[in-house]
Amino acid sequence: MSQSLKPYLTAVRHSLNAALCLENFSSQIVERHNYPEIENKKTTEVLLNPMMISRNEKERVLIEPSINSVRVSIKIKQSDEIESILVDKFTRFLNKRAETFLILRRVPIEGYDISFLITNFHNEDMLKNKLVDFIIEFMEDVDKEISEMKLFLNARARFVAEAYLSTFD
Amino acid sequence: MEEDWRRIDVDQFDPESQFVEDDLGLPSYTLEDLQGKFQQIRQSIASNNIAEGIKLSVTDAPYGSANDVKQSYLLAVLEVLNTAKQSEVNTVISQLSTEEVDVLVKIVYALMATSEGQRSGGALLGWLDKIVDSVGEGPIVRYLSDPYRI
Amino acid sequence: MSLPLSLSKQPIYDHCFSVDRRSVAISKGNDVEIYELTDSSGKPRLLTTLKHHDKPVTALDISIDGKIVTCSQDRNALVWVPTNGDYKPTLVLLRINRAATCVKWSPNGKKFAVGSSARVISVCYFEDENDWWISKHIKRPLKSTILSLDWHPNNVLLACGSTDSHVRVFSAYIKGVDSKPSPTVWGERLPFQTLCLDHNLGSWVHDVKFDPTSNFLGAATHDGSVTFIYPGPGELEVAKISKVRTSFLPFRSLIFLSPSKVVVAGHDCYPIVFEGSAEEGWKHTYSIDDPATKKRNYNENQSALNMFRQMDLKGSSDTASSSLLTIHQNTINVLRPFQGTSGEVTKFSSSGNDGKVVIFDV
Repeated sequence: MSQSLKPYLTAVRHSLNAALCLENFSSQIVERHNYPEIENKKTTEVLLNPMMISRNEKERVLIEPSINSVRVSIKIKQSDEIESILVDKFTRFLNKRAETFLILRRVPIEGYDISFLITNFHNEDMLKNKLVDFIIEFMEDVDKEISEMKLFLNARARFVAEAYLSTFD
Repeated sequence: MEEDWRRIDVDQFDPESQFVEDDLGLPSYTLEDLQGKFQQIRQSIASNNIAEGIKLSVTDAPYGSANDVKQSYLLAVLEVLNTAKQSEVNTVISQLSTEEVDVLVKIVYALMATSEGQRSGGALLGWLDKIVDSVGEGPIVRYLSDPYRI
Repeated sequence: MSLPLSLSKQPIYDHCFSVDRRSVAISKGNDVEIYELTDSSGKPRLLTTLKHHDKPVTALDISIDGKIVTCSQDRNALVWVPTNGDYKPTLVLLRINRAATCVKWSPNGKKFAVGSSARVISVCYFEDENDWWISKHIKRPLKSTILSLDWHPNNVLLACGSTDSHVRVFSAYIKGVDSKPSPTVWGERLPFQTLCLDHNLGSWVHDVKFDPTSNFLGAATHDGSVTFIYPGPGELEVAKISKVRTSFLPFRSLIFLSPSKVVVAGHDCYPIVFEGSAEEGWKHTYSIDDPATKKRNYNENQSALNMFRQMDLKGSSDTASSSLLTIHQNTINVLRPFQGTSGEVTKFSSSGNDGKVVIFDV
């Protein structure tokens, strides 16, 4: 693990730990409704201060907590065009499966590549430490995955180029 | 205009439904008021006295001020945080009281949301890491519901 | 020592033991279930289910004469009166249009208060002519959802904590139901809706309680702090605030064990004790069921079967068990005294999102 990745991930872990203290909260505005307050933001007093954890300009996590839900948005590292394309494809692949991926938000919020929405109901069904572990693990793996795909893509491109250009030898 | 009437948020016109935050009675400093403090902070950096620089930055932060004042205050603190050597951080933190650590965490979070702070993200994360190591997650929990925002 | 009872797969938002401590009522989704604990098998036995609400039950309470009051996010509250071994529901006219969030019987069981997201507290009392419970509203100056309520032993004063981060003490004096209260530190003349104390704690107030001498308040807030508020002689005056900042996660519930000892619990999943007084200040002294004092038992998981199961489930052969070291496996929602007098509690019970009710020794 690189030098600055560890403090980045521990900062996200501690921030998530503090933010994931949720309770069942029924809407103050709409009768008989119970929705994630962070998605509506109309009841300002039940929202908490958002936390942005940045590793550098290109990699950051935004955690927006509220009384019954937390929105975690991740900006994945993209240092060149190939990585942007790969991240876009990868997150789109996940978003299409959001239905079965309980905590995934179908659309990432603006400026980020992928968003999770964790509500008090998820927190009641699943262990909190496992939820936090999952997000940390996801952040670790996604970087690894993207750079692996990039390597593979480059190797493939080189192979194709060689095969194609060899005919002009 | 005609078609937009369905989208009007009628609740905002109901005086009963509005939540008005308590007035915390914070002084609103202007940039001129803070010049003296900036000077002191710069001096402590020049004399390499990080502990004093941090102490100065976490006392009487300009909560009630305009955004540009807060911004320049944050940048002044960022300089101190950046000059600190990794080895010094722990001793500085151990000299701060619980309240002062809370303010420091608040400033670190606020800085990470600015582009200047993101450029030196490594240093800020180092501070946060060390704070949590020495005092636990308490300051983060308190940051979340802190009404004194910077 | 502690006695854990796994009663539900769903979270238990509130629980309450009967006065004789032989049975316990728990909230379970839209219903309330009552379990008998003194069954010969030693296991809790389901006595009856109270079904009427159509949204999750948020709180319940049992009065000194055995009446159960339940309230729910469907905006209603019901009083269940024990009749011939079963419970008969009675209507309560709450007159609120948002979820009811918390409910508490007054110590004498003649009235109860319901807090709600409609930013009102309904103080309810029985009306014989119509055979129903009617309510009077406390509205001003509440600005947000009520999260907790607590009665003063004189049945008149009512403390409340809410998401607008205020702790308030009101008079809930109702003519014809209450006798005139004698003056206390909280005030002398107390017509209905008199505000006796109002203080901003800077964070959502999850729980507020009068101490056993009822001279001050203890409050648990979302910033992981415990605050003690001492009223002053003047009107709405606060003489002293003692706030203990901790490095724990936010607390959900607080009870006084004695005038100089409180226990709090919440997102850390185990009870934490604070001791102190007005003069010396309060501080954290010890924790009950503290995970730091426990060791993970690795032997239980070392079977080959378990290893392959882990590999199948998670793709790793990591055999460390995923459960927490504490008895409660999820947030503790409510603490209640179980045994002892109000000034010297020796056992208390807790319920949490993991569907467990646990009885702890102090």
